[in-house]
Amino acid sequence: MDESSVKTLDSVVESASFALFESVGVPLERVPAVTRSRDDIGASIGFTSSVLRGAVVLISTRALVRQALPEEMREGAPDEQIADWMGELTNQLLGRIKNKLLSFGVTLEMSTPTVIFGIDLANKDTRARLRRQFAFRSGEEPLSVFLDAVSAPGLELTLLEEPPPAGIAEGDLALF
Amino acid sequence: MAKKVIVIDDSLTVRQQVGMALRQAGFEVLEASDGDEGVALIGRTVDVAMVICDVNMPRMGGLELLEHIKKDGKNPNLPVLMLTTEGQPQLIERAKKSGAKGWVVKPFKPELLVAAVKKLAS
Repeated sequence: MDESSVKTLDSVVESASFALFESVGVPLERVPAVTRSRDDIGASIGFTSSVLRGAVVLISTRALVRQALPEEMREGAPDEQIADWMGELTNQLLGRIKNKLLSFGVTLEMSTPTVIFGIDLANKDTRARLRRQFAFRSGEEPLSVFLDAVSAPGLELTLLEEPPPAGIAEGDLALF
Repeated sequence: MAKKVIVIDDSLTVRQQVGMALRQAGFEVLEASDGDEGVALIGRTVDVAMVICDVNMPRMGGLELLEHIKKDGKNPNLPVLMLTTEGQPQLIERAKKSGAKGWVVKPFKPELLVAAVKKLAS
């Protein structure tokens, strides 16, 4: 993938991350790096397509995920609920990335998420040829987003000349 | 008597969110965590008013569940609303052709969802 396409992909992942966490009341700011926590939670969801396949990985803290829960569920939320929501956030992040990539002619197929708890979790996958990492913070809580992928040789992300048929945007509803 | 709505999603939190919104609006809510469970729940529940269903789920996905409901002939007119992260037009078209009555892209707005359920379940 050429440098311009990598920048495009970065922009897609970054804007999808900002929009998702804004929508759940946890505004993010981009930071150069995050300090790992002893209270980590991670989630991963795979994707595939004819030109790009890999996984999106999120690593954060229970505290950040708790803040992102619907307000009425935050207090006393058990680990199972925190894990469930981390998986759902990862799913929704990949959904947003997928919806944005449609304009570039890339149609991802999504898997279902897996969630893990641990101490000082790190993503050390060395197989991905394209590995993008994004560090964010909300207040004092860190969030790392990784996009690990393998792309088809020569893949260029350029907007389709003829835009794809309009889908339905996040938060919208259509009745048939 | 409260109308019964079956909510099928592999996220417990999403099921709870949808359940809270609908119960506050006077609906009875039953839950399943994937398409297989959903088919079983629909099969053993009397007088289901409508189904709200995720698309990407383990075991049986939402579009497969929708197609199953429409093909098995037991509840061919049961309204199904898809609630998903997916906004891909081809998937929406597939759902429409298979008889879905609507499509919501997460995160959902509770007031919009309740309004749609009131309309579809009536």
